[in-house]
Amino acid sequence: MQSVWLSLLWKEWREHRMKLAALSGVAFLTLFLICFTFRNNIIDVFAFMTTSLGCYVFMTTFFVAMNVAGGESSRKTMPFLQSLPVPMWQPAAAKLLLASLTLILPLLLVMAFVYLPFLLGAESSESVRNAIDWDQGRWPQPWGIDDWFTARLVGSVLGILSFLLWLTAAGVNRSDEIRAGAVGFLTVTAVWLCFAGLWYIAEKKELPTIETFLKVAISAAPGGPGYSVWTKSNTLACLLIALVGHAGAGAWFLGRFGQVKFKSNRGGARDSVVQVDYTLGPPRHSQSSAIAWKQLRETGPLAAFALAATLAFTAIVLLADETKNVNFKRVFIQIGTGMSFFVVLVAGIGLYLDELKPGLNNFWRSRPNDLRLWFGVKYVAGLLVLIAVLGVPLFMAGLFYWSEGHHDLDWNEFWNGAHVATWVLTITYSIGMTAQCLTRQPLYAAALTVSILMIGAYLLAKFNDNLQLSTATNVTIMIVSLVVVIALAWQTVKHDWGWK
Amino acid sequence: MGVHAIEFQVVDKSFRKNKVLQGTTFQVETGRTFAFLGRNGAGKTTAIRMMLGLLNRDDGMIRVLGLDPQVDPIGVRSRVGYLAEDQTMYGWMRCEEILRFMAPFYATWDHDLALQYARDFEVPLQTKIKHLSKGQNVRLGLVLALAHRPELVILDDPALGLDPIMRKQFNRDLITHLQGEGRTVFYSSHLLYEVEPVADEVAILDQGRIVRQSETENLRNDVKQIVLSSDAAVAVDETTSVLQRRAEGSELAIVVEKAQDMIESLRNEGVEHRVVDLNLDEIFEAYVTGTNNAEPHKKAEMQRIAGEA
Repeated sequence: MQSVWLSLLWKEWREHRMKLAALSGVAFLTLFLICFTFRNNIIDVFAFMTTSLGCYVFMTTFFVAMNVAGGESSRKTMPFLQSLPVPMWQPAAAKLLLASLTLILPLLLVMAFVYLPFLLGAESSESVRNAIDWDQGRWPQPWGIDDWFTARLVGSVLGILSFLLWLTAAGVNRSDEIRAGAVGFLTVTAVWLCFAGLWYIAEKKELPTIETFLKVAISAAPGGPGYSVWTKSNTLACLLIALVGHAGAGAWFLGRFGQVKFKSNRGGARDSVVQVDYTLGPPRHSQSSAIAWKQLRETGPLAAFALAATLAFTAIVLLADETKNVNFKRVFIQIGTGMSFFVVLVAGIGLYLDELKPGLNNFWRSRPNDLRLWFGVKYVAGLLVLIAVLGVPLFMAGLFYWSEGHHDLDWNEFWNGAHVATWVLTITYSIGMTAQCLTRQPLYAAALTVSILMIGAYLLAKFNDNLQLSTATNVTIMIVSLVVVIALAWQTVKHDWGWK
Repeated sequence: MGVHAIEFQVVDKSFRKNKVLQGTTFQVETGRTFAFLGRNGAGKTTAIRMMLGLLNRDDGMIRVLGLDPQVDPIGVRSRVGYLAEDQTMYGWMRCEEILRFMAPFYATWDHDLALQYARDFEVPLQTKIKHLSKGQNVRLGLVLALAHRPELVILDDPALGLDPIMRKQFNRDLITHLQGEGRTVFYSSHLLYEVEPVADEVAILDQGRIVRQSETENLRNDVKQIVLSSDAAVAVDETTSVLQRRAEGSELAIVVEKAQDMIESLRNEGVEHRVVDLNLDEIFEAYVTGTNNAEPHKKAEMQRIAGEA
């Protein structure tokens, strides 16, 4: 029995070790950029480290979880795994274990690295002490743990485990990673929105019992433990609820993993079914319209989700604004911004996710299509959909906000923000596409995209600090970087380059 | 000699240190059904991908319908119908949708013909591709490959994964249909008994080299098994190309090329022998298993077997 576990763990280790290396690379790169950028302001160093931990917890867990939940089905290896003489919960448990290690080890390494100066007495420095106090004031220590490192590690590890269990439980047995990720993301968002809605009602109608109940119940939600450990009251109840909720999610994943019947398409069992409907609509008008139609259909589910989420978050923020609940508004603006970034990243990566898989890659390349047209129409169609589902609702919300009598809205600032947001959206989407074309693996593509964005933002800020660049120069740099990224993606698609 | 639909001249292709094609040379005449035979990993799919301009050659010359696929891949693909081995298509599309989607990519696409093929091949048009059976998937791939009336149809192990009855139907009905329309068919396979009844010409690819190209009938006449006593084995002319030899008791069975010459020679020398006709499967086996040894070794080995017997 022991050798079965060893074999399963060895397999998972082989599948996760490169992810571990990539995540460690991203974690250290982030740390390096934060320390270097804010070397003269130690408060910012700690503030950004805490913020980065939050991003790391959700984003990396999402990509690793979608691989755990849908990776075997996506690679068509699930039938093989099912044929092994072991109960399916064992490979599932091995996956969860290695996924947790893959996510937690980079954090431990980075935190250990940061802790080194403290062993040499850095904590005695007044500026460091002030920075830690300031950060602890912003984000209180879980369970009152005094040590900043332990507190941040506990919060992050709990967050990772919570998201991992929820996302894998929601996405288990989906036919591919993207579906697993989408279902997981949808589930997490739906749970959050439910809590937000209930919270809003409880607060507005002044129902303190419901509020207290929600504060405890949220421990069972995705990322809930990360929140509940900060509350000073009902600690035991929070802990119990968190344990029950997450044990349920874990049991759901372990019990369901691999419990799916794969349709045998061999032998033509369905061939005997007589299909009487032999009608064929007219051909697509042109190659461009055919490619655009295909892209719209492929982006459709993500776009619908993004539109629904954008509308829901905008409504929540406007309601919070109405009730003058500043914290509520701030948290949901942050979550909404993070989710928008995430949707753009997934849309960029998703553009060539399926089409570069060997079978489909061979199919569309072996047809007489103009590659430039294929690349160009796909790119533009995907980008326009994103702008439509993310940008337009926000613009409408701005108009609504203004029409409701909030004439303090600064339109200049609004338009500047809109320009920058559009550029950030476009560059993130483009880098996501390029990274996917190069790596052909969503997790690595995401890690590469985030790394490039961080380095790019750091360099841009650095040049601006040192050289006092004009607006025109900044705009030129932005346009040139966008062109370079798109050109690299084009060359990769054209020559079928990339990691195979 | 007709115009060549496909021409490979001394084509080399390597993937890093792995030489997949080495001096590969063959021609396919227009209007013929050409069987491209080889074991798994022999280089068949690589050669096909090069014909479509999906891979670039390292050296040599390739022409498909008079075009260089490396220079004008779209020109080639517009005139070729291609069905890949285990073809993957967009699973989320319905069969009807993929036909409408692919139509604008081909200037010669005939939508009525596509519908007719879909009816003939019983493709369920309203079903999503991911729900098709293996056979339906192949048949949909064929509709996509044929609806633009291609001059050349390239089929890369198309019957792979079909059940025996469907494979027979596929070969008998489809290839015969294409032959009836005068299309050039390039059929890659490792299942010889399937291509034997339909192929006009055969090329055998082994370890990246064409070890034999011939008309199917000529090949059967040319390659035969000769059974003779082990003592008489030394009488086999050194110039005879022996593909395979096997000791069977006191007798030796050898498979040779230019069998008529050898039979003549054995008769002249008064050596007793039997001639056994071979099917394409056995001929193929003789080529791909026999060529692993160098010629001088074959002779020495044969004499050793004769001595032992």
